[in-house]
Amino acid sequence: MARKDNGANDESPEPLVSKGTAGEGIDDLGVPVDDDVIEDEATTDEAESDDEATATGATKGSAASAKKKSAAKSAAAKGSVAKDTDESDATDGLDDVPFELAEDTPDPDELPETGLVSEFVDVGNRQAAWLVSNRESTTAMRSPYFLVTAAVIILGVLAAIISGIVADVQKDSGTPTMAMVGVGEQAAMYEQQLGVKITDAKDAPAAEKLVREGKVDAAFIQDPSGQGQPTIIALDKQPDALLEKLAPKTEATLLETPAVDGAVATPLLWGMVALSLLVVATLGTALYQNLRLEKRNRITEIIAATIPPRASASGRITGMLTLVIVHLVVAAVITELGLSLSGKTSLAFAMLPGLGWFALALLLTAWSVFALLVWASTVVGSKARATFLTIIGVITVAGFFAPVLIGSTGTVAKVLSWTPFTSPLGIAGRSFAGQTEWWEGLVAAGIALVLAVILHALASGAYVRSVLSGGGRGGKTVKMSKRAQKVGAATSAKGSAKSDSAADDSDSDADDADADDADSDDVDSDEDANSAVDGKSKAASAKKSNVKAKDEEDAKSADDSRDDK
Amino acid sequence: MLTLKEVSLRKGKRTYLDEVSFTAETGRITAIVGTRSAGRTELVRIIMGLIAADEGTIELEDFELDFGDRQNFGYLPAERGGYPNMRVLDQIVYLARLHGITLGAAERNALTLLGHLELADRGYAPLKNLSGAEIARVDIAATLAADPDVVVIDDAFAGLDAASLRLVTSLLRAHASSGVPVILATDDWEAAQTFADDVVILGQGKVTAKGSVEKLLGDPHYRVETTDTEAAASALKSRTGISDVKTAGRERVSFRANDARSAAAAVAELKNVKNFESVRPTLAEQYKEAL
Repeated sequence: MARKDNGANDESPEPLVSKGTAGEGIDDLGVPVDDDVIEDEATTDEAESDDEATATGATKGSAASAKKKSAAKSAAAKGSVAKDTDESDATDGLDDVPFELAEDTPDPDELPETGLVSEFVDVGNRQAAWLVSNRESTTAMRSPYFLVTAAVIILGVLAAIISGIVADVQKDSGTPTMAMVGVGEQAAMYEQQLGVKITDAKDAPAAEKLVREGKVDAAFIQDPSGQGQPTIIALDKQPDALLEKLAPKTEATLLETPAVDGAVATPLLWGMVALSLLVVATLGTALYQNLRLEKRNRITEIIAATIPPRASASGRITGMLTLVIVHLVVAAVITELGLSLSGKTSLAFAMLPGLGWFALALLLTAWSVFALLVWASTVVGSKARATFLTIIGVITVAGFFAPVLIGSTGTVAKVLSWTPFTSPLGIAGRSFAGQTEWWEGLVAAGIALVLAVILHALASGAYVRSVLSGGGRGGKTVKMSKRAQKVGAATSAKGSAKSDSAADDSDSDADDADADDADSDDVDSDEDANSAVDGKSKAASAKKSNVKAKDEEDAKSADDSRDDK
Repeated sequence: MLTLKEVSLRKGKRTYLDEVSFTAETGRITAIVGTRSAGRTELVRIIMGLIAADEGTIELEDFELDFGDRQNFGYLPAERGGYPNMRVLDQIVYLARLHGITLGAAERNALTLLGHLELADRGYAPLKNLSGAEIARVDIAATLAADPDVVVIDDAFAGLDAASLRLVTSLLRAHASSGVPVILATDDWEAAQTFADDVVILGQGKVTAKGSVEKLLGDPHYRVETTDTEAAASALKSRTGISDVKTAGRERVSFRANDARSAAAAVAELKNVKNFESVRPTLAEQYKEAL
């Protein structure tokens, strides 16, 4: 029966991770598996001496446990000779267990006493914020409120598109109308020939007026000189039903640029108000409730004791902003796709700039609202919090409604389209009306961005103050103690020559790790994180004096960097 | 080992902690016990860097702790609770990953700990579906899942029933044995005496006593029941190796002795002895009333 060697083996490599066993292969166990090992006293003694050597550098607890294990082994070994003889007799004639079928039982001596694995990466501000953000967004996405909001948005957009198609079908089902100049009594004849309702206009300006007033779909205007081709003018879209009846088919000249028609823009803007309120209110509520829950259940303290609270606050906000983006993308894609599929490509194109500026401004406004909610959650006293929340609610709702109520023309509309909170709907309304210059969206987004960044900083500061009373935490991370001792103990069990070389290696590793420490305020790449997996524990296994000296240097450099900041 | 040196905390005229010093040894469970408003929670928060002490230092393995050095401290505050709607396993993994442990290791540790705490079948249940004692066990699992270098638990035995207490303390003992200091703050004197190796007794923000449980419990008292207490007391006082002779009630005399043999020899010479017993007052009996 194949059994694995319980004793430590000098040839076995050090585990990459301080005390984890996860990464060990079967080769690490020290004895070829295909050897049918039957322990005799000498083997057991060797194992015992190895155990003792390992235990010398270990902590009291581990040393005691190692001794216990050794004692147990020696007691077992006394009776093992006779037993082994019996076993060998019993297994005579049986085949060896093939390598593939050998049970991969971890060596009990190499298992951590707690059974826990330690595989670490550095967690800088960004990684910490990402972890928090990921939890926030995942939790919110699983909540029924998010799903209901998404469903309402999708159904609302689809309903709007379908109702628009139905309205168009009803409108298109009528006979096309066209104004003609000076046709007089021949109008009836043209109506019969073309199948179009003809309205007589006394001159070209009168025909154009009829088009602008929407009384006719288009106007047929002869060239005054009689030399050129006649032109067909329409207001802001091609009168397809009419043009199909003319031969040869031609294109109409549009009187106005293809901005979104007022009849479409107004309901569209109200839909955008509803979307904005749904998104901001749903996600804002989830954010605030999570913050209060964490405060109530003291999870805030656990998190603040682990990662920088500023990163925690940022993570919450970015998590919810991710979901805002998800909502906006879903709404925009369905709108544009629906319009394109229903043959309203020109409208889809006309809406694009307005929708784009709306989405950007709404994202930045949501950022401000979420930052304010984080701030509100830190306020002490339920009345003060309620007041703060009311103010946030009023600002948000008024900001979304005001531009639609005021309209898209005039100085007030222009100011509102640049002002934070009113800018999402303001800039969109003016864009649909064709009232904006190309740079106005940038101005609105810029102002909203500045405000969001300021509010974010203020909210983060308030959050930090609420969880830390005078305490402060940076991103600097020092891992030490247990893992260091474990690795140190293992290192000390090695032969002197090997330990010298290991010390040299760990010195160099310590340099690397120290460099990582110095940079850990701003760990911003996976490379740093990966290199830190082993760096910390290896660094700690270096001679204590070296580590201490280096850590003092680190501490100084960290102090200097803080002072600089 | 984690060492606190003359840690003080004041707010206005009130002193929360006054030059608190002690060492939580590696591989041992250290309990901070005290009455309400003794300053336990403040002390724990200072250890975790959540409150800045006005004076004093905290050192881990002789390195003074600075900002951000506590990333791999396992901390569990008092009056805690988790995310009710989050699954148990997700919760443990999330809190562990904040310490920097990899996803795979966090998941593996979470499963290991849930197995130890007999919650293996509840890993995929939302926390709100668990009982109070199960939630308390999950909290402990979440604290240990990152295999922390130092464990600090405030109100350590809160919410644990007898079975949970056994599981949790064995887990904490195993964790301490793996080479980390485990610090438990509690007002449960009996549990502290039973499960801790060392005890720090706080009273009004000051360390009243500290040391190993055995040391703090001290030598046992001996108690004699006799009809003639005065004669017994004077006879005991005259003997060498006997000290601290007191009459307690009409028929009782208590005293200390160098060892049980000399106590028995002294009592053997007394007359009218009804009963003789050795008594060892608990920590609470010795210190709590004084606090």
